[in-house]
This record gives sequence, structure tokens and C-alpha cells, in this order.
Amino acid sequence: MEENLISKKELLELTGISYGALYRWKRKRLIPEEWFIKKSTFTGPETFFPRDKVLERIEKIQEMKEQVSLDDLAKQFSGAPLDIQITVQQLLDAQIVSPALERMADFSATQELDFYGALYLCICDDLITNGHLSIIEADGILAHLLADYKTFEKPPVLNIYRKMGITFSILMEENSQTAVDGDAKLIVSVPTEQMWEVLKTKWGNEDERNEA
Amino acid sequence: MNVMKLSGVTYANGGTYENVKVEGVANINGDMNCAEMRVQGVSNFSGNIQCTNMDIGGTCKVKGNVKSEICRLSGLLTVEGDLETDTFNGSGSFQVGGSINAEDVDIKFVYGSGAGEVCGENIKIWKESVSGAVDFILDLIPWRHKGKNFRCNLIEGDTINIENVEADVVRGKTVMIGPECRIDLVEYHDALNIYPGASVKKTVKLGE
Repeated sequence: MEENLISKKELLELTGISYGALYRWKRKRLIPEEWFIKKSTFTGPETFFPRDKVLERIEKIQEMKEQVSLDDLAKQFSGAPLDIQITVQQLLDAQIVSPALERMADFSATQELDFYGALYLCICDDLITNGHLSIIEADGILAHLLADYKTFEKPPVLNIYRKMGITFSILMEENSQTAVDGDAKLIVSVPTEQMWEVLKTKWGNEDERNEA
Repeated sequence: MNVMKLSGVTYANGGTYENVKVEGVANINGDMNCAEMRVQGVSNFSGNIQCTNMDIGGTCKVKGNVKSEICRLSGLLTVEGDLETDTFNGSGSFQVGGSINAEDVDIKFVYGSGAGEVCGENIKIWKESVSGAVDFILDLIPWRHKGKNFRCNLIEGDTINIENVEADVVRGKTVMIGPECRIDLVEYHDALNIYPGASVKKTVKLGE
């Protein structure tokens, strides 16, 4: 797959950061090692980055490094789930999920959730509030996520299809090949990795607010 | 507090320690995780090392990667993987197979040093000066010619100040190329100084 890449020189010029900062962030694991793609060009070896990902990440770092230490930022960006125990009510209060979820079948405001549980709710909430799914369909998705999500090493992509009025979902690794019946229409593709980060940032900020 | 002190000829396994001290000859299996490490004898590590403060006075060979906040060198260090540290300073001989990634690199090297890449903010690499007579006698040893200069593929940083370095590409904001350097390509943003005795094939000013 041909990815949209940006060279290191271009990146530094565009963002105005220095070599030192870039390597410091690499050392602190703020920028994952996989993003450093070495290629040889006619001027010699040059390092490239996936353009969108790295620009977004650097913007985030620059925005947040004033308030949060680099080590805390690294924790936020690393793939590890947050060690949290929250109730659904807390999620509602923090406006991470919307009250629309209350109409789901096994909804209970006092239920305790870990990070994954919160993530599943966020995904369902996102699907419902964006109008991709009905409440009843979201129940099915939630069951699917509960059953299979943790079997993936990396946050998978959730694809939702509809064929002749029937909704079904597929969890798959990013960029992996799948072939789906031509009649099935792709309703939405949710990169759960993004949701993962969104939840982490939101909850991280929430934590600080509580402490302050 | 977990302390590991090795003296004499020993074999040990890695693990998590507060303090690690090697005084004899030690072979250490597996990954090592510690706060403070002092090597004064000869040590071979078969895994990765992660520590806060690393002081190498003797010989240290590492098969994996090294990650440390401070790395002081006054002996001989060989790392087959990458070396990541905030400050890397001292004098001695070092070989790094992968890249050196450090905030400040301040190294006086003796013969036989090199690395795949050196990246960081302030990079200063120069040669330990030995008196002319000693140098002349040492030059009679044939294997010493091979590693007279510091050899690496890429040096990249904000301020670069190098001497006796052979590199393919040097890229930085402020670059000083000292005597006895042999560089194929220098790319710089703000300033470039080349010592008359240095050989640089091509220079490019970036950002125009």
C-alpha cells in the first residue's frame, strides 16, 4: 500500500521543531519507532514518516507539553490501556458518552467498567449518535465487541455492513485484506485505535480536573 | 534494596536491581533493569540494559539495546543495538551497531570507534589527543590504522561539532567540521564552518 509520507526535512520545516526535540520525543516513545521509515533517496538515506499520523501527533504534543510532563504524555500515547474503574454514571457525567445509551438493553448506570468496557460504550455511543445504527443494532455490536475485541493484539478496525436490511459487523486488523459480499453495503468503518486515544485523552484530562 | 555486586569471574542472570557493580569478569544473561550501574571490570550482557545512571570504566559488551538517562564512558563500550541516553559523555572507545540517540553527546574517542547513526541536540565528537611521539609509535601497530577516525553513516543534530570523523551525511542547524574529517555530504540550516584541513565533498544549505 502506498502511504502518504513526509520526509524529515519537510516535517521539521513544517512544524518548526528542532532535531533535538524530535529525537527527544522518539526517546520518550512519544513518536513510535515504526513511524521512522528509512528510505534511500538520490541525496542519500532519508527518514520518512506517515504524514497524517505524525503531523497530528506533533500538534498534540506541542499543545499539551506545557501542562503535562513528557512521561505522562508517553503513557497516554502508548498502546497500554488505562488502569481505571469507572461507572457508567461517571462516563455520563463527564460527557464522554451521551444519555442516548440509557435505552440500550442491559444498561445500568451503576455498573463498574474497566478501560475496555468504557471503550466499547464509547464506540457504540459514537455509532448511535452519528445515526449509523439503531439502539437495537448497537446491542449486537456491543456483544460482538465484548466477545472478540480482546483477541486482537492491536486495536482492530470495526466495519459495519448492511445487507438486505440485516446489519452485521466485522472486526479486523488494520490494512488486512477482507472480501465481503458485493451486495453488502459498508455503513461505517470505525478505527478503534482512534477511539482508544480519544478516550484516553478525555479521561486523562478529566482526571487532572478532578485533582485540581 | 536489591544490590548486585560481582567480583571475580562470575556468571549472573539479569533482572531488576537498584545497584549493579561489576568488578571482575562477568557474563550476564538476559535483560538488566537497574537504577545505577558501574562496570569496572569486563562484562558481557546478552540482553538489553535499562538503567538511570551508567558508568563504564572497564569493558562492556551489550548484545541488545541500552537505555539510560546518563551514560558516562571512560573505558570501552560495544553495543550491538541502539544506545538511547540523555547525556553521553566521557572518553574512550565505543562501537554502536545501531544508532546513538542522546540529548547531549560529548565524546572524546580513542581509536576504533564508530556508530551507525548519531542523533541528538548537541553533538560533540573529537579525538583524544595523545602526544605526537606516542601517536607515532602506536601508529606502527597495523590494526590501529583501520579505526583511526570515528566512522558513522549519519550525524544529525542541532549543533554539531566534530573532528576526526568519517561520515556519509552530516545534517544540522549549526555545523562545525573540524580537522581530519571526511564527509560526503553536509546539509545545514544556519551556519557551517569547515576547517581547512577537512575534506567535504558536497555542502547544501537547507530551507531556501
